[in-house]
Amino acid sequence: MTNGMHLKLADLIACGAIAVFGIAALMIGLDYQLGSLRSMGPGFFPVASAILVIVLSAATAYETYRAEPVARDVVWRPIIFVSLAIIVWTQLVDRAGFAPAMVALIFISSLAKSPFRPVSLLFMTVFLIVAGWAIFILGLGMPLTLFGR
Amino acid sequence: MLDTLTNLGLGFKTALSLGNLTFCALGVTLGTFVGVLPGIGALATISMCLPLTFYLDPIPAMIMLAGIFYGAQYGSSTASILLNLPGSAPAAITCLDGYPMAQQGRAGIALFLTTIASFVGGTFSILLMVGFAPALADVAISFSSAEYFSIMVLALVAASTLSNGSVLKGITMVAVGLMLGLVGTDISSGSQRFTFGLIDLSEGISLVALAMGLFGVAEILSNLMRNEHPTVDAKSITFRSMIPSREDWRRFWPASGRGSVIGAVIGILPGTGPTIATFISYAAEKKIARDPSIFGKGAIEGIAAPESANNSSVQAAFIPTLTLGIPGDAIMAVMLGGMLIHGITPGPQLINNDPVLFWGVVASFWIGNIFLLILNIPLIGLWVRLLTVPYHLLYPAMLFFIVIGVYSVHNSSFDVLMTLGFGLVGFAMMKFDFPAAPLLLGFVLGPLIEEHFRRALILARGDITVFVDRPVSLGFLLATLIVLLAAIGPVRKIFRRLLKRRSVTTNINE
Repeated sequence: MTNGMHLKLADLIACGAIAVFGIAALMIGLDYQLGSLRSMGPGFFPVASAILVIVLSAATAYETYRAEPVARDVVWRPIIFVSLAIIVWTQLVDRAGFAPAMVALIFISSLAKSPFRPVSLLFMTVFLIVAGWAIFILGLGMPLTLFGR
Repeated sequence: MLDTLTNLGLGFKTALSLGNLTFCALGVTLGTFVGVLPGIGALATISMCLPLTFYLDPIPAMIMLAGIFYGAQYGSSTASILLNLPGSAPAAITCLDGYPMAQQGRAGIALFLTTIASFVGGTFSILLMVGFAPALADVAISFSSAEYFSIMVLALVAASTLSNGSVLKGITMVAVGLMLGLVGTDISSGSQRFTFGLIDLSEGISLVALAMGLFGVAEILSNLMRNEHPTVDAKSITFRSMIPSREDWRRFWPASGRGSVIGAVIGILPGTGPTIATFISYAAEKKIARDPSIFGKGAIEGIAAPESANNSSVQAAFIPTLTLGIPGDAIMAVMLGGMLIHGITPGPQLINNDPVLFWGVVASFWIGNIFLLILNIPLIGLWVRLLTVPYHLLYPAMLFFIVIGVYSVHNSSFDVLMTLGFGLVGFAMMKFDFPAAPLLLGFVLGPLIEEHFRRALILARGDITVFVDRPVSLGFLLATLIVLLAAIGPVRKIFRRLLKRRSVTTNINE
């Protein structure tokens, strides 16, 4: 039974996170002008929506509390490498250029799942960079450079 | 009647121009391509391609986006049949009888018939659209803000309650979506809301970043955590193995017809998408079958009806989106968002103010469906081979297109980081069974709802009863109430009990 409660805790935290999101929105929303029904200010709808979010997240939490616990497992490796790949890409694309950013993205993200096949990845990366350069930079005229600023 | 023919003539003249034809072909090919790949749905595809169309004129852009959408529905059945893995959510039902057919060595026939079924369903709803859309637009032209507010509330409630899983979680996600939709500059007062002083947020959260995060990145993360990735034998599908027997055809046509009708009805309703259409049509086939035990073992009816319903509802969903400006589901919401970015305001005026666009897009639907017949029957081998690409090569390539696609909208790294953020949130939502589609629908409809709510109350001088005084608006609100009541636990239980009792008595009578 304690184990069941332990499983539910994660679900309850998820509901709590949504409630916190709603409460934060409510606090910020209250700073905007509410206005009246006849002429609503910019604050009316945000406050109403935020209250809706808070009430519904509380109701969901109650529903979760009453329901049977569900086991949920998470593997961290994909989350870490996919996140890292995208963050590194955003840092490289404006400084080092399109090609290095894409090489980094593809090679870092491919660590998220075995097998890691550097040779076939290299072929694919070259193909994607050429295709991407042709479509996005040459074709659509995106303001990016292959290398450098 | 003559009007319709003139309009169609205009439409085909537009759609058959070389440029539009090219983008139609490009759209359906792209749609099929991504539709075939399991684990990446039509929503992710459309959001990925949305930035590409910003460089196009509105008409080819719409033709291409729509092509991607219904192309993906054609393609998604391939993976269902060959791998027992749906290419997108509506194709899940096709697994039930499609995969057993493949195991019996009838994969070719299943692929052939699902393509024909898609074509039948699509054509049915296109014809319906031609006849029905102008009439609906005429009715909708009298709608005021009160009616628009009420019908959008109905759409949101229906979309969140009719999906699988917890009703409360669905509605909670709608509310979160409404909240996210408020970020940015308030149109009525010009004041900045929830922007935290960031210029990147003054135009609101990017629709592309949100959709790609929730449906692209989150989807990739969850696929990476699965271990098994089945493979397929590409050589087994020959053109010869695709020809159905006369008996297959005899069972195919009535089921396909019923599926088309069910799909069209569901597609027109606000808040209900192709997934529900396929479920209902499958259930209906099972109900009316003389021998329900054949289902799940490779019944032709079990693939014909849902596939027809799928495509019929997809095409029919354009009716409310184009004539009322109200998207039925999350995919249509992204389409609507795309149209707004192109400066097209879908609504009752669209048919009259921009007939070239409206009829051109409608005509392109049918041309696109013919392209899809060619793509999916003679060229099916190509798509089957695509399924042999291993996932460990596929997902880095998908990430490639996601980051470059999001970046291209505003040339902003900020949007790409936001996509990652939404991807992580979307993954957590998936883990805890919070559905993402209602959130996206709430996000797109949020600003529209606020605008109509405010405008209705200004016109009514602050009298909140305006929403129940106007009969059409009252009707939509009552419908919302019924949907809500039917979804709430205790009421649903009673409902189910009643249904069960009825089905028990019918069984006895039989």
